[in-house]
Amino acid sequence: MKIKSPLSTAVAIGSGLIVLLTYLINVDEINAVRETLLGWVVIASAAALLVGLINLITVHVNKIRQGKKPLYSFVLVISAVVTFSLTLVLGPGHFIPQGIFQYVQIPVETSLMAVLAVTLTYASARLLSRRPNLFSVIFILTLLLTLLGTAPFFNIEIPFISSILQPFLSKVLAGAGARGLLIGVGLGTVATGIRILIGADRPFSR
Amino acid sequence: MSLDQNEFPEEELPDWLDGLSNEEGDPADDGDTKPNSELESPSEELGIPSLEPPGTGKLFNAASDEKASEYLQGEFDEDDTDDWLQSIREQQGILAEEETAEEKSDTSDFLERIQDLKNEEEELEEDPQSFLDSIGNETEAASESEFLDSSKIDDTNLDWLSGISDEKPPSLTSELLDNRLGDLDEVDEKENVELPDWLIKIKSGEDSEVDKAKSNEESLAGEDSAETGDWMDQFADPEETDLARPKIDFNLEEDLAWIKEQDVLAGDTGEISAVLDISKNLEPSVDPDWLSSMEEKSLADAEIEMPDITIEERPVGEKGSFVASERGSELATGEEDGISRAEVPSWLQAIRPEGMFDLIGEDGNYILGEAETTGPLAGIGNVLPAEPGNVLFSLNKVPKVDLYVSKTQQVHISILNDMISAEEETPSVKRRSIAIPQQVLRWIIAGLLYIAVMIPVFNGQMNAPLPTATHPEISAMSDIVNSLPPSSPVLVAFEYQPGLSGEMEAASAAVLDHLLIRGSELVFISTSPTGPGLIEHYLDTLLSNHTYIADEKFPNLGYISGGIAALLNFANNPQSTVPRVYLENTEGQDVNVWTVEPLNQIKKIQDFAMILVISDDPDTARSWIEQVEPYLSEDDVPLTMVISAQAEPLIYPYYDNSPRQVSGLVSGLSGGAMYETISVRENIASRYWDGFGNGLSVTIIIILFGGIFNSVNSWRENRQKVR
Repeated sequence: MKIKSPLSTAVAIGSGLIVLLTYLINVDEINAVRETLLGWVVIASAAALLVGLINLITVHVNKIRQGKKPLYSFVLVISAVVTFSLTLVLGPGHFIPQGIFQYVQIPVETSLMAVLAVTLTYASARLLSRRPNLFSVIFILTLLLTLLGTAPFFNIEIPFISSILQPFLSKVLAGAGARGLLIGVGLGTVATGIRILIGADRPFSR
Repeated sequence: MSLDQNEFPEEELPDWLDGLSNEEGDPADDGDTKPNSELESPSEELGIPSLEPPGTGKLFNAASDEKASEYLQGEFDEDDTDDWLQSIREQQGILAEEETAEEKSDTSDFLERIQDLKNEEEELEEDPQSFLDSIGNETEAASESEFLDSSKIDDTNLDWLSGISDEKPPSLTSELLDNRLGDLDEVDEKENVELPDWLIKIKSGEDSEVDKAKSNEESLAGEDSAETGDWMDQFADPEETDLARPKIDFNLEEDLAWIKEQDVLAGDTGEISAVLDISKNLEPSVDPDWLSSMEEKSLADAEIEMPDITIEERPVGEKGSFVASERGSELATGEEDGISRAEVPSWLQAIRPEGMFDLIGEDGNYILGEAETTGPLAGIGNVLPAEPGNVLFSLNKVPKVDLYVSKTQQVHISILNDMISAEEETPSVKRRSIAIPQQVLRWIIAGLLYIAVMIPVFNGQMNAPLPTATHPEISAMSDIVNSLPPSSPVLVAFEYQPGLSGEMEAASAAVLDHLLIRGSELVFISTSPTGPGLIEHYLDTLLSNHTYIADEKFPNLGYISGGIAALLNFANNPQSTVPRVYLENTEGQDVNVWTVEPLNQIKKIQDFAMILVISDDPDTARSWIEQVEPYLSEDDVPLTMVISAQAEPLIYPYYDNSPRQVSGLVSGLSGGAMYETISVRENIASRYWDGFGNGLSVTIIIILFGGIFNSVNSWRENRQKVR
């Protein structure tokens, strides 16, 4: 008997209705139920994170056994196990876990952002050769004006651009577009919530 | 005649007929209903397939039943029942021959027929065509008369049938078989006739089976008489006889026609004719109510199909096979003596086993089926199965599901298969081949950027002026911090990734520094797994100069899992979300952070003096606004944010709102530099400002000149193509 799908859907709908009710009415009993449900979410999410870590290690251990690029998998498994063990034992404030974080993780991720900066600069320079149209020209001009208004151009601040044009571009034009996006996101969120509450969408039953 | 008793429900059959049905049609049954070998053996031993239809041959065994005889006497009295037969006889002109046939004895008649058969064979060998021509003329009259004469073969064993007609049907009793076998021996010895195989088989003698037939006949006759008495009494009632009378007009001419052929070909016509005659005459008696409802056509068809099986069993090459083929052709075409072939009812077609009756080939000739290899019917082909339900006539047909798949759907299927298979495979990273000029250009761009950024570092000078214009959201942030009372608990959330730590640290350092200067007691938390590490890194590198941080008295609540739900839970009840966080007190003991300052004052989220969210992700920042801000707005607790420059367009609307959902906002490195300008306290944003400005300047130049160069180059190429 397949009860997974209807059971999970019923749990999702029930939980959503209870949490939604707490926004509409202030009843201590319902609030208590909501706190319990949210507490379960915190615990379950933490457990899911651990399960994900175990799954990641398992996948790469299997790759090592199968000989599929074992060097990368070996480095990953060793790094994960060592970092997890040290942080668990010593705590995140200890200098060893802190050193791992400061001298490995932050530089690696930051360097990726640096590469991204170079790549975006190169792509912007070649944009007009690949797509020489009006929208490309508008994009390039907007980009140049925003950059000019963000920081002084070789230690020279351009008054009109930095004080008027750049704020207009980033807060009026970009803000107008962002509001439109946010309204769309809000409507989509409401529609998705209603569909889940009435059972039309069952993302938890798969 | 060929009706199978198994076609009818058993509960509708009379008891005695039911027993006969079981014995005849279900040889697999054992016990009391053991088949009478005598009735089966004659036809087999004679080499003739079972001419008598199932259920009718046993009537000879029931002949001893007195009640049945009485009933049948009245039932088939010539005066009131045999008008139809009488008319047929008159038409055939065979009544005179019947009288002469009565004078013949069984033995002489049998021997004459054997002699006739021998003569016919010789004639066929000498002149086949003339023989075959004569068959059509001789068989009708001769077989018809012999058919009727043969009913007088045995007067003793068929007393109960005496009332049916003047002629008395013979019985395939043991005495009769003995006589037949004896005659065969005599003929063989005296004349040394070259007998066909089926006669040789008889001649080989199976006396034991004859004896067995005797005993079976006696036992079954007694049983039948006991079982059928009551039932037959009912039919003996004159009022009910009308109901039991045959309502189906048998086509006797047709029956006689094929029987004639059998007589001529088989030689031994006495028993066969008698059997058919008795069977035909007794047919009405075995079809009470349940059979009266049958259509005439179905019964006629059944009678037609009977000789098909028997004829086909003959050995190929004998005269019978030729006639059989001829007969089969007639049946196949549905024309015989001007009578159109009747239609087989649907119910009969439905129960007919597949393949068993497909005896007529495309050329109209009969097809010999596979002969039985075991059992009493060994050597006979196209035999009805004993138990149709237990025999697999053909392979079980798997119902075909006609699923129409269009080309579009097939394309979709292939796409889906490709997607699934691609998910299972580990994508191999292929090294892209980049043209050397492009690769060189990339290196040039990267070098220029690095040089522009590193010059201020090596130079050690800060020549670039800090931004003088202050944005209102930054001023609002500064005003909020300045309004906080000393030792106010401030919750700081680290919600950014390590990759953007450079920008976020520069943007937020001035704000946190300002808070610490104001004496706020900071409490740190994060919904990102890397948050606790970033907190420790941040405090150690940027804020360690403050006593509050250096003494490590600040509570770090760490990471709370669950995303938006965790935020809501934390906003609703902070202590229950992170209940167990310990901090070393001045005495070196670990104490729960919720029991010491500043968290011992916190019972709910509104108890914090300010919430500061440092985020590079607009979605995370929006989660704080949507889940936590409603609780804060109840007590006018400010929610402030330091965000990345890329998130500013999406978060700024929450500030530029009424009422403001975000009370203060600092975005990017430029926002941090502005905040330092406002707070009049240099921090890392000022140190980064020169390198940041130089990098942006070089980027602007590269994009500008690169765009112009590429545009001209593209325009030239297009122009050359036009030319």
